[in-house]
Amino acid sequence: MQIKNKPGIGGPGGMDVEFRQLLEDSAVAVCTCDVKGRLTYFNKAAVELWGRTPYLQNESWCGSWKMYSPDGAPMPLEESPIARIIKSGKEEGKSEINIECPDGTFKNLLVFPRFLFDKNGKLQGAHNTLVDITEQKKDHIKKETLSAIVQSSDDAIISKDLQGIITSWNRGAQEIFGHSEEEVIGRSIKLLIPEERLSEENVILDKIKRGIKIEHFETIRKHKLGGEIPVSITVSPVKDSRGNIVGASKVARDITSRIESQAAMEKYIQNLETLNTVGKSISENLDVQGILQRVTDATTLLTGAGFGAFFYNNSDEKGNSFKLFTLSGAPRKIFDNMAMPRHTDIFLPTFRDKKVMRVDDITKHADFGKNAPFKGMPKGHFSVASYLAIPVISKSGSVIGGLLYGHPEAGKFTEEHELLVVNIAAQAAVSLDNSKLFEQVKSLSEKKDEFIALASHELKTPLTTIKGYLQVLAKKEADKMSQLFVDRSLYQVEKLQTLVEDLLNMSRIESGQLNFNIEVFDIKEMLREIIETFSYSSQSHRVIEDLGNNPVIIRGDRQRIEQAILNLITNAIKYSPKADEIFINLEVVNEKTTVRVRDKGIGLTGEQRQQLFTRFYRAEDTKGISGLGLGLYLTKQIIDRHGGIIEVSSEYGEGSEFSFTLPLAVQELKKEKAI
Amino acid sequence: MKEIFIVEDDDGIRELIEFLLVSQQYAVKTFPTARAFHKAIPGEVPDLFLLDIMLPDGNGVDLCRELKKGEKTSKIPVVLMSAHADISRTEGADDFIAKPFDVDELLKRIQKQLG
Repeated sequence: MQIKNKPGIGGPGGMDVEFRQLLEDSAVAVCTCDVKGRLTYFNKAAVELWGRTPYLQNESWCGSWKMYSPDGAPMPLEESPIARIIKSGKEEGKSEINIECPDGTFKNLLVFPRFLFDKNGKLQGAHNTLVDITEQKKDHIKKETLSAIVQSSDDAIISKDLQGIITSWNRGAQEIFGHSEEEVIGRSIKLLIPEERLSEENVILDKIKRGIKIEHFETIRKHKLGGEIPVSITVSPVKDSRGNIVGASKVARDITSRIESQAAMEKYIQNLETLNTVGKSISENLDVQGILQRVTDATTLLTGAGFGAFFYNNSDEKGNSFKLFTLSGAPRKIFDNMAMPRHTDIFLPTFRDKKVMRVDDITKHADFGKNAPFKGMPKGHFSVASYLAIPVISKSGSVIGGLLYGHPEAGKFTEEHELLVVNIAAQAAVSLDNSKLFEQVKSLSEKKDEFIALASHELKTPLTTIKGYLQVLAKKEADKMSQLFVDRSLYQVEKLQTLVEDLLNMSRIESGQLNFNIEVFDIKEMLREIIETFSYSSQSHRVIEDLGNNPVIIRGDRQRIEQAILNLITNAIKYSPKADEIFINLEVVNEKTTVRVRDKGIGLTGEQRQQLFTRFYRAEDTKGISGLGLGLYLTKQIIDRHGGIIEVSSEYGEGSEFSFTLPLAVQELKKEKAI
Repeated sequence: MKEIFIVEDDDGIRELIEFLLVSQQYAVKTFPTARAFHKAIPGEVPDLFLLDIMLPDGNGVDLCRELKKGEKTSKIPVVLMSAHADISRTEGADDFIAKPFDVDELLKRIQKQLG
């Protein structure tokens, strides 16, 4: 048998030479086979397509080296489309197949097998037209891929023409802006732009027309439902095949989450600031309840906890337990009927081992519900999954208590939260230490006041007896010396009595228990009486007075005001040992009255003037002059509490002037005038 | 002769006041405690009560209140005394004397109450 494997040889019989030539030169690959499938003809184009030259008559159905169906499964020759129609006697139209050439290239073909009949209409076999669609196919895939990319992008990818009319709209655009493709195609892009930003579009279009790309422009666009969306947009000009700008493609990225993370950053900074303020305020605050409430509130807020609480590490007769001290984020009554947590395994790390515990879901923790009654949290307890416990450790190293936070959802507390609270806890611990000291000092001070009150009472009792008998003695006829001694003793007893009285008053002022019996009286009359009594008793100093002619009515505690005036006069004499007169003035200006007591004594330095009214203060050069340093302190307290002002002016070595100003009892004054 | 009942726990003061009043021709009965006073009171009734406020087993303000309610004693003047400076009101009594007192002042006040 002659084997021919050249194109153009063989083929259906009776074919015109011209027609044969036409087939031979055709760019379309053609081949034929007889009814038995033997290859009877193929042209040059077919050889090119197959990448090989088959052997005529010796090969069946098709000249392809290897065939595959479109899904990739190998296709035997006898199942090729041309074989199928011969075998079935039924034409099928076009089919798609893939072939592999001997050089390894793959091609996508569209084949059109048809029956071939002779002049008499007898079936001769079949002819097949093979069209290479590899390139189209590739293009199609590329387009499909591109489209899929566009469609699946989270970014909005929109195209528009130079008038700003939307021409395409992807799924991302729909997600970000809310409009569906059907709703927006053919409409202006201005649909998305908030009114106050409409001018942006003109700028964008202007740039696009000039071929300028706009990159990462951050702005605000509108959602279908009206909400504002922060976006970053990139707009590029779209050119046609001739290079003319025909529109623009726009990629818009929703930067809400970026803005949110920026906001989160800002929040973090804010947290730091809060931390700072809380730190400051707790270090300034000395009251335990206040410190702990502030710490609990601030940290509950910072951590976003459902609730936060501070528990004191408390030991009671039942063993170890914790006492709820402050609570934030949940009503306190939740805990009212609940027993305080005990030293169970879940709390031990915090309260005993000084460890921070941060657990995403405490109900799944190994130690959860490990202690009797093995139920975990008590009934009615605030639901807790996320758990954060931070010990508050005193300078001495003992655990003062613990800050506990809970959230009903798991995984709510982050390392950042932990750090924040650890910081605050450390500051709180310092403040609590200070506060403890303060409380101790305060209670000492209270004890001191109590002691002074008691002591003064006890001192007054024997004083009463001594004074009484001395007074009895003073009335008896006696020799001059006895008389003198009794008088001197009485004078000292009076002084002692004043000192005891001052001490007591001071402690009353300190504890806020100095009571006043307010009445309306004439201070001028009072001064006159004081000066009169004084003139009898004082041999050393003369009082030079100027009290005016009218009554001066004030409202106050008669006894205390008298005490204040006496203090000033006593001081004036005491501190002017070399002088022989003091001056007392009374004046009324602007519904206020001023009492002045002036001496020509040792005077005061600037520093002394500053400290004069503090208790137990005694100027350095007063040695040899007796006193406790309470007189002026008490005087100032009395005047202050009458709404008055006490002042001192002095020149060192020249003398001093003490004055106090009190408001007049205006109404009583008017009444008096009316009468 | 007017009679005065004194309730005062401090021996020194009690004796001083007794001495002062006796020398002024008053009849005086002294009681160191509220209990001792209670024992005596249902019987005879004086012309004036002089009561210390701070007592080891009670206080003068309460005693005064009782006396002012008592059928036989409600019209009898009561004078309170105290070294406790927090108390400066008469607290329902007819007068109040702060300790340490002035001897003349004490006598003057008592005379005033007895009319």
